[in-house]
Amino acid sequence: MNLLPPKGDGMRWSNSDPVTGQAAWFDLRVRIEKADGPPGDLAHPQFEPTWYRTGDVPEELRYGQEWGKTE
Amino acid sequence: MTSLPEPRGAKKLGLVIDLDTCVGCHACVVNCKEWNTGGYGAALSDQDPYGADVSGAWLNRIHTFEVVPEGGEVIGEAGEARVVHFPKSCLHCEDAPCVTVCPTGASYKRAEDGIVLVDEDKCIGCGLCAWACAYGAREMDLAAGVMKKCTLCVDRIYNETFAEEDRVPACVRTCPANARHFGDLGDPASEVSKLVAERGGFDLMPEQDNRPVNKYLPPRPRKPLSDAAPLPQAAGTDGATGFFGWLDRALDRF
Repeated sequence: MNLLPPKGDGMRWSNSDPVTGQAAWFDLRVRIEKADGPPGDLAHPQFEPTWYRTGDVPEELRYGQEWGKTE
Repeated sequence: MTSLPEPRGAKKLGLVIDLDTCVGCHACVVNCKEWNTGGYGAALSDQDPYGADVSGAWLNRIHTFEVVPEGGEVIGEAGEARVVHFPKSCLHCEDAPCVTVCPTGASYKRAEDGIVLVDEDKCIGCGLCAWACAYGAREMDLAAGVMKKCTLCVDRIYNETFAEEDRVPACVRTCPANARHFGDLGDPASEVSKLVAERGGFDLMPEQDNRPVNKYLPPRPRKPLSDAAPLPQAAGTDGATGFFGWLDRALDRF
């Protein structure tokens, strides 16, 4: 339970919407400033294409064979 | 050719599948494959699993039909038609033609509980049993070259390391609609036998004389939605007190 700092009466309010109880950070302060973009205008991180995209997929799946009898 | 067991025990283990409550969610299909790919015999393989033409071996499949009740009309016009989901797996027939057709003795029916199994060490993958089965319940595993079929989860139902409630086939254990029931259909006093008697459970294609053990319960008749009584309308909120009064005032503020 997160509580806001005490009011004048010493009571502390829950740090959430008083009607719905929806959790929120009403005491959160943020500063927004423009940053330099990443090189190449790409979002980061960048990943190699997955095996699904490269077509390197198995022709057959035998999931479970490893627990069965060996042939 | 392979013989059916003589003499038979009285026990006839099987499934009772309720076509009224099955919603076709495929949970039984998936849990069946999950359990049986790592258990009894060879894995249930999939061919071209990520390609355009996926296929694979499954022991349980659901076929879905739209049926029109007597005097009803098709769904787009009157809303009286209904969809029936029909889960299909081995019915563990008493006169199983898949057993008698087997040239190697790989297919067999157990005398003690009636389960039809395949001994994969003896199976040569000739596929005759799949041709003989009236229900299309057997599937060839293309990777292993042996025939796969429902084992009634023989590796679960007698497994004393499992909790009592887990000693049922995987499909029955997972069914979220409780549409699948497992028990001894040879015992007229068992829960499944009583269910069959009560609901008019029937054999699939009895004219084939396979005497299937598994039974299906027919969908119950239903009234069209348009015949349903209208929902009660809410009375006014004037004079509401307590919580509802507070809620009504709070909602008025928005």
